[in-house]
Amino acid sequence: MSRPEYEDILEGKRLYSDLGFSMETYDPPRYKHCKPRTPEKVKEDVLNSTRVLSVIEQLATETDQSEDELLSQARAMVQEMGHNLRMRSIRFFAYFLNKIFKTLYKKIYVNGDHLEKLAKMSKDQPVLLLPSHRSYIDFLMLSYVAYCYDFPLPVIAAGADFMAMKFVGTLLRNCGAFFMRRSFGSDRLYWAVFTEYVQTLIRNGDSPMEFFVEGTRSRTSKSLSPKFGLLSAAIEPFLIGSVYDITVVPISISYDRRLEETLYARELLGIPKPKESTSGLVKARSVLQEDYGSIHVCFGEPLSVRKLAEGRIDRSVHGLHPRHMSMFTSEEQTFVQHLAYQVILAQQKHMVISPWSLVAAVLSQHPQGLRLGKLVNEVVWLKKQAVGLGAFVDWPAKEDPSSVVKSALELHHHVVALGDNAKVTLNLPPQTRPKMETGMARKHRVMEEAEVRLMVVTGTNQLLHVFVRVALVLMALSGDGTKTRDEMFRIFMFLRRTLEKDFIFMPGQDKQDFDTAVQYLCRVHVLEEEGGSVRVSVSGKKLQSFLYEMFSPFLLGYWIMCQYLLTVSSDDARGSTTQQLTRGAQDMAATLLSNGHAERFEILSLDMLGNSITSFVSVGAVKRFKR
Amino acid sequence: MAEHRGKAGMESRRFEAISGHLASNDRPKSAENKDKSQIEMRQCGEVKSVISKHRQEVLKWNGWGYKDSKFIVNKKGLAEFVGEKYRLSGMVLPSLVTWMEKNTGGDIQHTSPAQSERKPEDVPEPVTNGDFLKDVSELDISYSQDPLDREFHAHGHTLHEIFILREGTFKRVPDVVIWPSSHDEVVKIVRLATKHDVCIIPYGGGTTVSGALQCPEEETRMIVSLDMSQMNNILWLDEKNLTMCAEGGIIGQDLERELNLKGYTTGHEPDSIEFSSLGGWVATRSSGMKKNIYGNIEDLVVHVRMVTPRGVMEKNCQVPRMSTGPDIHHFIMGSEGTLGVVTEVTMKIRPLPEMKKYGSVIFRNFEDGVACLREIARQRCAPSSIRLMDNMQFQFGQALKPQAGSIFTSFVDGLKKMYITKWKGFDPNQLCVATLLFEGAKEEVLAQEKRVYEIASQFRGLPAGEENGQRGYMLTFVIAYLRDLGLEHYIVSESFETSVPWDRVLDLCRNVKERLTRECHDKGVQFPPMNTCRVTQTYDSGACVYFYFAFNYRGLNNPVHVYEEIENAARDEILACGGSLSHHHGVGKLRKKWLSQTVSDVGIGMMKAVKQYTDPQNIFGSNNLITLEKAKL
Repeated sequence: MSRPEYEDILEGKRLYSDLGFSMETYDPPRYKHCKPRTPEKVKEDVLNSTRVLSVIEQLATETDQSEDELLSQARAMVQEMGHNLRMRSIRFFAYFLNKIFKTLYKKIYVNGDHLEKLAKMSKDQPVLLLPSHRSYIDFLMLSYVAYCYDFPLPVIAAGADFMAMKFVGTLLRNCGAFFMRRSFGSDRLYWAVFTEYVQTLIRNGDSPMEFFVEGTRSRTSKSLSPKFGLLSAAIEPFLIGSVYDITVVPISISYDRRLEETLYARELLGIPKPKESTSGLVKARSVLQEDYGSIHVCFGEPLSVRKLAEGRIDRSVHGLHPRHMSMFTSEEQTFVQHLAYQVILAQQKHMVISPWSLVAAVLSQHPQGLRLGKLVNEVVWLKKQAVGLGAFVDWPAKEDPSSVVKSALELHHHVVALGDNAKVTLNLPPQTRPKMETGMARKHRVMEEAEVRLMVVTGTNQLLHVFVRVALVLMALSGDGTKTRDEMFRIFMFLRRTLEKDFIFMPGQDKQDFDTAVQYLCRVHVLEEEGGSVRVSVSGKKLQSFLYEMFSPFLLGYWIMCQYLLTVSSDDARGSTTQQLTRGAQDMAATLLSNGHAERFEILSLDMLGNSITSFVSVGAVKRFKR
Repeated sequence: MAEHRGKAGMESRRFEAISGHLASNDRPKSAENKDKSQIEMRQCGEVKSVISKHRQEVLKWNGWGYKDSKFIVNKKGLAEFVGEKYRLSGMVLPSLVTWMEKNTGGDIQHTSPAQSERKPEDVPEPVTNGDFLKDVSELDISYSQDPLDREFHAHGHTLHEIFILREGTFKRVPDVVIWPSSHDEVVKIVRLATKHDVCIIPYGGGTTVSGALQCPEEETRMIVSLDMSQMNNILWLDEKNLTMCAEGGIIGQDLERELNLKGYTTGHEPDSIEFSSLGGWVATRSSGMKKNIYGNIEDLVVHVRMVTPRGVMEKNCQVPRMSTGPDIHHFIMGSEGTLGVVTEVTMKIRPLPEMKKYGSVIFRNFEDGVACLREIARQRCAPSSIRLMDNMQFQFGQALKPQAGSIFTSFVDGLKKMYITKWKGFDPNQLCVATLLFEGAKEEVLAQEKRVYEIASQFRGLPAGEENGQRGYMLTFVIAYLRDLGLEHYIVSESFETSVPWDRVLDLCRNVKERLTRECHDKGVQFPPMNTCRVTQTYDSGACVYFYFAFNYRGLNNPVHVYEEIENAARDEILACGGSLSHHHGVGKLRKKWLSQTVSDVGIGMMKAVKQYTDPQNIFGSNNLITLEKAKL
């Protein structure tokens, strides 16, 4: 894909009335084989589908429920689920969002030429829109953008927790959201109803379908490991020949500053998140007074599922079973998994790195703060490294670097402050330390401090995917400094495998990742190869130590989990829940921090500690079982 | 070069089975009404065929059908069907040219004429096995090494083959054409071929569209084209058991005409019936338009004699069914000339139906039509034939409307008239038509007709008259001639077919058409192709779908190669959508590469084992269906 050409869609709308905007002609293209139907008809079609009816029949024979009871359950499910996309709501929504977005954001950048191309393609085959998910704003933004470009409004798979919100739930529903319970375990009826609902919309191509491959919002600003269930259901119509092709569009939505930053920091530390409620949203209105900078919405290169499947999938095997019975061959399962990873990697590729992210990365490595001049120098250096690795940094070319940094600091004034002495420090809680502080009190203070520090960490996190592969290579060289490629690859593999839940790697591509990273590092003279051995050059030391500092908190966090597991594993045969383990390890980390034995607050993140367990499970060090 | 024995009848007769589709409902007296005490087993005389021994005397050497019959663009720039054999003959089709231009792009003024008469020196020199020929001459069996005879037997009717005839030359053609006149002669020929290691390719009607008649280019032995046309007698007719026995070479229309004279029919009516042979039907697992009443070839065959290098294979009785291990008939049906040659076939016959009635139903869209056909199949009340044409084929039918003629009462005019009153809401760019053929006793036909129209009405279908139905079936036979017209104007076209479960019919049709369109675009075809389909047979669990596909190849260097790539892609798509490799055209050489995927490796192994036992020397070396490892043979 060529470099995205962004245009600011708010420009022009500022001079134009919200009402006028909401009344503009909106006549999006339609999938050529679509037979138009109402949202009610969609639900009817789901209930009359062979898939749902046959599950009802099975359940009626296996349980003591009658078919009628089951059917009314199914009806309730589809009612709960169903979207109700309506023009009136869309116009209202357009009005409302236009108003809000103009207040919240300076610019909304979109690579509109891609969207226009996509609009043409959407006539030929059903479309899946797969955006990154880091904020509530994501799906509102995407619908808004669609409206602006006369693109068909997507129906959106949303978590059922939104549904409970009065008014907002209904509004979202009327704007195309359909709701999916977060967990429905082995409820076959629900699965059948949900699958059919998704597939009937795709088969008929009523609207593009939007969902989040990551499954939920990433609190950390790092991409989450993909979920495969919904993607499998959405791809199945192609596998069984119900549609000719499906277009999959990875979309990257990048924020200068997220609305939920504070909330997320608290969540990562385990301070419970408030239940989604309308009154909560109203309280959040003060949030709306702030400036959130710019947003970049990048529509990635559309992927044709048909082209990707060519030569990999033999679809004729589905001639041997009724099509309402979902059956995935192992090739198909792998195919869907790879597709999911491919989508997330594509999202990462087109993420726009904000200057704040660079600032935060430097700040994380200076817990006590640093002078503005040094900060600017470091940030400029880091920017060069990131750009070298192909990142798109939103850096105004003509502006003086220090003013770019200053405006990033200004945008995040709730986290950092630029003092009169030109020193940049975090807005930490007041450091009134009593002489005889108890352990408990010390830990409490640590947690308060952590809330602010983690907001810096989430800023840094937006940058990690750019560096992770080269960082793992350089970390492999950290010991005595000289290794053969094979030795390096072994360590690289170990690190990659250990951290595969925290970072996104294409399964099976470890050698390629390694070779590409080594090749890059040699080209920029960070690595030198001599007599079959590789070492870091003198000029490369800076990058090595910077990246080491950037990624070492993960190793530290994993190490703490190991230490914690050693304290619990022997004495309790019943095992521990993941939550007990992460909380326990977090407590251990807090102690280390309060004693001054550790100084990186990332290790308090329940997300990372949870990932470490998953990783240990996958390498077989820890066993997961049901109690 | 051998003397040709006796001259076969050159006089071509009107094809009664076709005219059957054109005649009124008054049928000749049904056999049922005859005095039952009449002779039960009748000796039947020699049959005079419409096809001559040297086929090029009656048939086109480089295109479809009778020499005299073809579409031309007349001086006024209008399409005209010339000749004398068909109801449409001599008629002008005013809208055809416009329709072709519109739907395949291009301009009728651009012509791509075929090479003129074949020069004998362009046909490869024959490989001659002198000892074999000497032994054959001693038996006084008719044969010919005339280049034109040999070339005529070198091909069937795939686009590829016709294109070679029009613009190129075959690399390999049969080295001799032999015309046996009896089963015993065939036995002798096969024995001699085995003795002298000569390759045999049986030749029936030559209508294959699977490349089955093509000579393997790498074949170094002498290749015999065993032309069965002189074995065309009906040997006997058994009225008690309602069976008849005929020699394998009899041509469909001859068989049907003779049986009709006696008040009977086999009811087997493949679209190629004018030219295809009984033995060919058996060897390719043929299917007939009226299978809903009479069954496909596998339902009709009671007994088969096949001469193989190992000897003659046949059953020892003529019973309706038996449980004696795998049915050996199923080794024969679909063997496509790889195991032996079918010399005699006993087949079921039925008294001619008392009544024959056409009909048609118009639907709002293809989906409604398919749903209706599915329901008719579910209720098992399908008429003798029911075919659902998609919108483009419906419009195509309109474009084939001649200037005059009662049967050709304009559908469009009728439509317009009715449109206002009855058919309001039918979109001419969406609607599609099912053609119907009812056969049976009068009350049965009327009752069935009523039932079918009732079901149709549940799917918003409206009866659209008998004439539209009749025209639909009549056009089946002339459509084959259209390809030659297209080829004169840079348009290549072909048909292909599949069978598919009911629930996948719509998806398959849509995906295959989409694939064709996109492949054409990707392969540099400059105009959007014409692609259209019809559901042409219904079964309990699925249907047969038939595609017509054409594109304008101006600007392409190798249109046949491009065409083949596109057809291959379409076949991949069919298989991916749950369709079969073939419903009735067979595998031949054209579809070989998909056979193991279709029947599993073990299935291929079984076929090879049968071949290995029956024909270890690969005498029947057409190389259809499977490729044999050289070492084993």
